[in-house]
Parts: sequence; structure tokens; C-alpha cells
Amino acid sequence: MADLPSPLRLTHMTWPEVERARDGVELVLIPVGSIEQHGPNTSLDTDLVICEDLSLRLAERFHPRLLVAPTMPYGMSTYHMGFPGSITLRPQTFLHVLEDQLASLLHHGFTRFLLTNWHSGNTSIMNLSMQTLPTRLPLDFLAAISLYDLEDEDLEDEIVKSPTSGHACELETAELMALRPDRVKYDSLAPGDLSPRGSRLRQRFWRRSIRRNHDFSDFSANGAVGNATLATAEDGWRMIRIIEERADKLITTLLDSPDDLLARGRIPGWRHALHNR
Amino acid sequence: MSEPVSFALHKMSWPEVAKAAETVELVLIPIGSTEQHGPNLGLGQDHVIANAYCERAAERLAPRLLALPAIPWGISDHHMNFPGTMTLRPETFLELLEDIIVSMRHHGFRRFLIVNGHGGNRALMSVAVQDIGFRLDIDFLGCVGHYTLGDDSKLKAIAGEIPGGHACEMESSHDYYLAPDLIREETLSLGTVDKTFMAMLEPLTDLELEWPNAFNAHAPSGALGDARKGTREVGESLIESSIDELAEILNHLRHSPRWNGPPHGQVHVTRKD
Repeated sequence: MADLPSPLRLTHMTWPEVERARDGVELVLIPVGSIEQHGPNTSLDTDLVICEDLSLRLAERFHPRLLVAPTMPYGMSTYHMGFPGSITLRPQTFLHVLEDQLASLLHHGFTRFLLTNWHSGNTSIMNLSMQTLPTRLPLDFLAAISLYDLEDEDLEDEIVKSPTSGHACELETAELMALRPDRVKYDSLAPGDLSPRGSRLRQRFWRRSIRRNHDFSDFSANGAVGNATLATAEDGWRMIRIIEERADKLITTLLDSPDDLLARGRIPGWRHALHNR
Repeated sequence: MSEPVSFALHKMSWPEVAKAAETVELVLIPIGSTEQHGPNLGLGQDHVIANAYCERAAERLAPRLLALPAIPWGISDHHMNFPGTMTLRPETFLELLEDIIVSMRHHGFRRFLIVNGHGGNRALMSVAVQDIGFRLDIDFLGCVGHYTLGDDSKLKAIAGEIPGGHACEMESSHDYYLAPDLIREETLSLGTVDKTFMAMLEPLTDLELEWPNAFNAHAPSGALGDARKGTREVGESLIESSIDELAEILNHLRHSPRWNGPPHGQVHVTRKD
């Protein structure tokens, strides 16, 4: 496939290239991002660029078996709306945009999809999409991976020196320094300005499977947690390499999974018949 | 004004609701499903139990909670290969929740807790909390699975080799305590697991893949665990200890940020110099 660009990134391809790539593509990656505040430390598109870059790098390694679809730029970021610049979709909008993206790609012959994500606020809407969109569209496979779930816990304990982490912290900032240093505000890096009471309550409820409406400013006055001033690109690369190793293993396992078993697990497409009647 | 005799909305008169609005701290919205529960239990299981749980909680913590009637349907597409299962589109479910909340807000209630009895609703309710809790002029919207709270030591003591989770010993125990007419004594049976499918699934989920899949693929009879082992005693312990913890949570919530407003959507951070 020397005549095909690597990675297969749909937005950067021509239609004859997509046509030639089609038969060799076994899985389409759809990066799901967010536009949301990351404290004074990194740009609003932090989640989007990390997820997109990791997806493109994956597609490069599995070339030409993976195609990267256009990134869904917006996610659900309601709890960052207290900070200027954050943008959030309503869940209905997210579902409809994803449905239309999937339907368009189905029309062109792609039937197996993996959503890739770097924003924990998106996990619920992604799950809801996976539970329900296969009933409407004749997809062969629709699953998701939140790439931060592939982080190594021991290495995380080593890198993270603060009692709290997970957003615009030393780990996430380090990962961005590795992949996209242009998005890091090196002159403004600051530790999270945390409210102790808010943090305690947050931990308590999250541990107990309780969710509530909240604004991130209830916990952190500057929108960050942890301590981004401790971030280094070197630590970022150490973690990114582990994520990539595990993501490679996941994709390999997935591509090797028996088609009939994947088909058996498919959410029933019971609404298709309804549409055609 | 007459004192309410019950804090379950559908059993109350309007003057009682007006009176309740003065004392109620949190309105409970029970959600569940209408979906297959193997040969073991009736299809209404999840919403019937969520409803009974909320009524019981409102009775025990009177006059601080108001229980709304349960929404009988949920997200159950993964059970649609079994006859009788019904499911909502997420858009429908979200609009239903919003309409219920807006109606009650009109009557002066500003804090709501979605109480869930069906695992398949987790993503939906979490999305609802994020979205509706941000957009509407209300002070609090939260969600919790009633089965995730409380002390499950008595349940663990009766667990068998097939893990539960659906139409299992936990759910039959709930029924023996709160809704015995849902139990099919004569056909109660051990759950079934498709080992070939599970063997394919495990390496993927070990690598953190999220893949909602058809329930019949891993549980051909529609049931997991062993519903035969359920007892009324276990059910009572699960439900009552869960309500104990709900009471504890309510006491903590009263001191949480913005319990008395301003609403989430009105929060704006400004730069501190």
C-alpha cells in the first residue's frame, strides 16, 4: 500500500485514496475530544489533541488496517462551564453528530468502529451511544477506549507528587509536553488552587458511585488539580510509551477476535426493521 | 393544611404536597426498566423495586424526602432479543426526566436525586445529571444506584459460583422483601454463562475496552447468579442498610457546595489578581 498516505487520516486524504484504502481498513478510529479549560496550564483543546495524536500514531503503526475519522471536537464538559472558553454539547447533540458520522462512514462501506477518548466527562455519553446507536445503524462493531485507562498505576504514583491529580495536573501536562509542547503554557504553569472541603466531598461521592451536578470551581479555583509545575516531557514520554504498548495489544487482540463472536455480542439492530417497514 | 400521611407523591393530595414543600429537602426520582429477568422474575423488576425503595426511604426519613412515581422504562437495548423487553431512546428518556423535574420545580422543589435500579441506565443518568443539572434552574441534581449503597455482607454470604448482577440472588432477595409477586418460584433457576463468549471478551475488557453487548451472548437464559438462593432476610438487610447510607449521604449533602444555590449554570469564575 505504498500509494496510500500513512497514517490513514480521512480529513487529509482524497476520495480516490479513501476508495483504495477501503478494503484494507479493518477498524475506523473516531477520536472524541473536548474543548474545556485546563487551568492556566494548557490549552482548551488539550484532550482533543492528545486523543487525536495517539489515534494517528496508532493508525501509523497498524497501517493500512486503521483509518482515523474526523475528531469529534466537542464533548460533554458542563462542569467546566464556570471557566471562560469551555464549550459543551447537550447529550442529544452528541448522539446525533456521532450517529451522522457513523451513518456517513457506513454509506462508504466501513462497518467497525472504535471511539478513542481522553476526557472522563465523555465516558457516559459514549457508553450511552454504544448502547443505543447499534439499534439504529447496521454497525458490525462499536466500542470505545478511554486511553488514560491504559496508564500504568505504578508509574503514575511515581510521577504524581500531589495528593490529587487527573486534570491539568503534573501527569496530563507532562503527556502534553511530550506530544504537543506548543499547547503548554510554560510561563503560567501553576498548581491547583484547591478547596479542601470540596475535594473531600468529591472523593467521598465518587467512591460511592454517586454523581451530582457540580462545577469544577467547587474544587479548584484555577481549574487545575495536582501540580503542573512538576511536569517534564520525559515523564510524559515514559507514560505515553506504556499507553501505546497497551493500545497496540488491544488493537491486535481486537483485530484477531473471531468475527462470529463479535457478531453474537452485537446490540440487536431491532430498529432497522422499523425504519424499512 | 393537612399533614401528609405518605411522602409518595401519587398517594398524596395537592394540599399535602403544598405542605410537604416546606420540609422536603430532596425529591427522589426512581428509574428502572421493563426488561427480561430470565425465567426467574417479572419484567417490571427494576422499576418496581426502585419505586418501593424510594417509598420506603421517604417513609423512614419523613418529612425530608418526597418520592415520585417510578419511570417504568429505561435503556434496555441489550435485552431486546428477549420477548417483552421495552426500551426508550436516550432522547426520550432525557426529555422525560427534564419534564418531570421542571414540573416539580414549578411547585417549589429545587433538589432532585435520581434513584436507579437498573445497571443499563448508569450512562443515561450520569449524562442527565451533567446536562439537566447544568441547564435547568435547580440547586441540586444527583444520581445513585440504590443497590450500590449499604451493607452487602449477607448477600456475599449466599453468593454461588456464577457471579450475580441480573435476575440473581440479589434481585430475588429484593423481591422477597418488597415485591414477592414478581418471583416465579416454580421456574427459579441457576444463571447461565456462555464460556466461549466470555473467553473472547475477557482479554478485551482487561485492556479497558468498553463494549456494551447483547445480554443473550453471555447469559443465554437471561439470568446470572443464582436467584434460588435469595431470601427475605437478605433483601431486608440490603434495602434497609442502603437507606441508612442514603440518610447519611443526605446529611453530608446539606453541607456541600451550592446546596442552596446558586444553580450550576450560573457559576462564573473570574480571575483573581
